[in-house]
This record gives sequence, C-alpha cells and structure tokens, in this order.
Amino acid sequence: MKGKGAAHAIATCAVMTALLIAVQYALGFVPGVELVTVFLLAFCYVFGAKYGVIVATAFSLLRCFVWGFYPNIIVLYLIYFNAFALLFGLLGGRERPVAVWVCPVLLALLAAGCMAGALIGIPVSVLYRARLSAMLWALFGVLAGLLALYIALWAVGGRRAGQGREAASLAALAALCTVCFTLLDDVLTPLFYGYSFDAAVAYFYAGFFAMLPQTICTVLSVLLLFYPLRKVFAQAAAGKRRGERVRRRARAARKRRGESENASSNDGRTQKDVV
Amino acid sequence: MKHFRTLFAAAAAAVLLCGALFAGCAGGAAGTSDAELLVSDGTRVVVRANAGDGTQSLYSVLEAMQKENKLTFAGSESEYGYYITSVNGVEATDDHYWAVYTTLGTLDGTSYSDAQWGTWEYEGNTLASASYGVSGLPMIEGEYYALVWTAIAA
Repeated sequence: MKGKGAAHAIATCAVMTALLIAVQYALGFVPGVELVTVFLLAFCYVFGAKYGVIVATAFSLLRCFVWGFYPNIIVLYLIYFNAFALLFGLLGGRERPVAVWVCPVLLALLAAGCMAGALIGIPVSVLYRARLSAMLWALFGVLAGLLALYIALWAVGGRRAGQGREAASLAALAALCTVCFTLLDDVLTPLFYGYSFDAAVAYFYAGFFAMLPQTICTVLSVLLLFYPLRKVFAQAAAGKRRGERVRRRARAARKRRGESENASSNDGRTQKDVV
Repeated sequence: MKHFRTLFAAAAAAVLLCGALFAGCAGGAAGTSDAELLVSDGTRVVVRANAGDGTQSLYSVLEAMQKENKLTFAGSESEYGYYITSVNGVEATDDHYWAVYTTLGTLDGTSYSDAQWGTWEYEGNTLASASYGVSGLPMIEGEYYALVWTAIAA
C-alpha cells in the first residue's frame, strides 16, 4: 500500500468501518438481529484478508465510542472479528468455491446440536425453557431447510445453482462462526470477571438466548444478502483495480516513450533536480 | 434469478416459521401465585410468595402490583429478559443500580441465585444475588424476592 494505493486502501477501510458501526448501531435496538456478519463477510470475500483484518481491528476499537469501553468485549471482538476476516478473506482469495462437503457437514453438525439441546433440555429458568426449546427447534428447522436447499441446488447443477450453493456454504460457515463467538464470550467473560464455576455455567446457558436468534439471522442474512453485497463491493474493488490499471498503463506508456519516472520540466530538468 | 426467488421464498418462509414459534412461546405464563408486598420505598422492594407453582414470574407479580398502585417500576426488554432501571421513581445511575436478590436457590437443577455476587439480609433471611432478572425468577411458595438500590463496586 504505497502512494495512491495506500490512500485508497485507507479510504476503503474507513468507509467500511463506518458502515459496520452504522449497521450495528441501526440494528442495536432490535434483539437478535445483526447484519455486521454479512457485511464484513462480503467485504472480506471481495477485498481479501489484509483489508478485512484492518477493518475488523478498526471496527472492534472504534465501536467502543458508541457502545462503551469494556475490556472483555474489546478482546472478544479483536480475536473474533480478526479470525473471521482471515477466514473469509482467504476463502475469497482462493477464487474457487468452498468444498462440496463443507456445507452439509457443518449444517448436519449444527442441526444435530440444536436437536440434542431441544430434546435433552437446557437447564435455564423454568420460565424460559419453552422459549429456548422453540428457538432451538426454529434454528434446527432453518439449518435443515438450508441443507435441503443445498442438496436441491446440487442436484439441479448449473452456474446459478452453483452460486446458490456457495451462498449456502458461506451461510453455514457464518452460522458456525456466530456459535463460536458466543462460546468464546462464554470463556473470556467468566475469566475476566472471575466468575465461579456455577456462575460461568449460568452465563453459558443464558448465552443461548443471544446466540440462537443471531445464528438464525446470520444464516438468513448471508443467504439473501451475500450476493447483492458482493456485487456492490466487487464494483468498488473493480474501481480500485481500474485505477491501478490506468496508472500502470500510463507508466508503461511513459517508459515506451523513453521518459523517466520523474517528468521533465520545461527547461529539461527533472522534478528531482528542481528539488 | 429463478434461484434467487427460490432462496428468497425459502428465507421468507423460515422467518415466518421462526416468528410464529417465538410468538407462540413469548406469551405470559398462565400460572397462579399469591404474593405479598412487605416493603416498598426508594431503596428497596421486598415481596414474599405465599403461594406459587413456579409458572408465574416476579415480573408479572410486580406488574400486577404496579396496576394496583402499590409501587412503580420501569425498565427495558433485552435478550436476557426484563432489565429494571427504575423503582418507585428512583432511577439507576452510574454509581447505583437496582439489584435483584432472592432466597430461591437451586430448583430442578437450575440455580436461580449465587451468593458469590453478594447477599442482602431481610428480617433474618439471607437473600443471594439473583442469576436471572425479574422476568426469569419463578414465584415459589415461601421464597423472598427483593429489589435493592445497590452501589456499584469500584
């Protein structure tokens, strides 16, 4: 990132960070609904891991001016969103679809976990058990539906179906990441505040109420918004690449004409000589 | 485009299904409880359940008492339940908050309070800091429940 490239990179990352903070703030008052995951996912997928990590770090730190400075949350965000950016940045950089087995395996594992939780029963307050069970069954239904959709698209074949399968695979990976976010919080927060084992277990179970709606939201938002967002970001990235291409061509043309990198002034001296 | 329409239809169906499931389970509990308001002022509210089958929450009891003008309270809903921010006109500040205490310990394998986070004494009864908010605490016969104006530890 040198010269104009660096300025463009800083501007791109700044705009994306502002967008993420705005998206989080706008939906912060709706419990269980968040679109930061799909925005960051599409951005990292198009712009790559390097830009993704810069945005993830800036977002994790700057959002504190809106939501407050809580050390455990800052550490959680820095670890999670940087790992998230690396994962989806590297996936996007591969320029080939996610392996066919990834989506079915992830969805089957997550759906089995939901079904087990709903059948065994999670020891939360007796007043919350029915709601938690409904949430688990709802997530199970969404994951099973996504798996059925993936298999149907796989059977249909073709480029469009391939795009749908890719979105389904990324939705499954994003769902896993959302679950990991809550699990990471279940470790970091009790450690940071020195919870007793019982309190940590209670915190873990209470975390299900945040995790389940967010996971459902992640699956649906990635499934629906990944391609439109990817298109928008790809257009922005193409603008960046077009600019680089124009500069490269101009440099090559100057070389062909035998001009040096430092353009001559009217009296034959280069800018370097003048300086 | 056809596949996008299929995706959209599937997602919309999933949203409706989830909404219906959540709405079905979000309704208030239809159980019964007989609760007595022991104290209600600007620093504490103490309630004792004289009867209760565990299907009604402290929140619904407080709500009923508010309707009878025995006390006032306000707060906000969150993913973790109802969070009380004001009782009898006294608002939570940067230094103080309304803590929830109860004598209800472990019931059916679920712990409802933890003395590690603090205790509060009321007429010879030791109430421990609740693990749930007012909407997650079931009314159980003989148990005490308290909202206490508490300083935030530095």
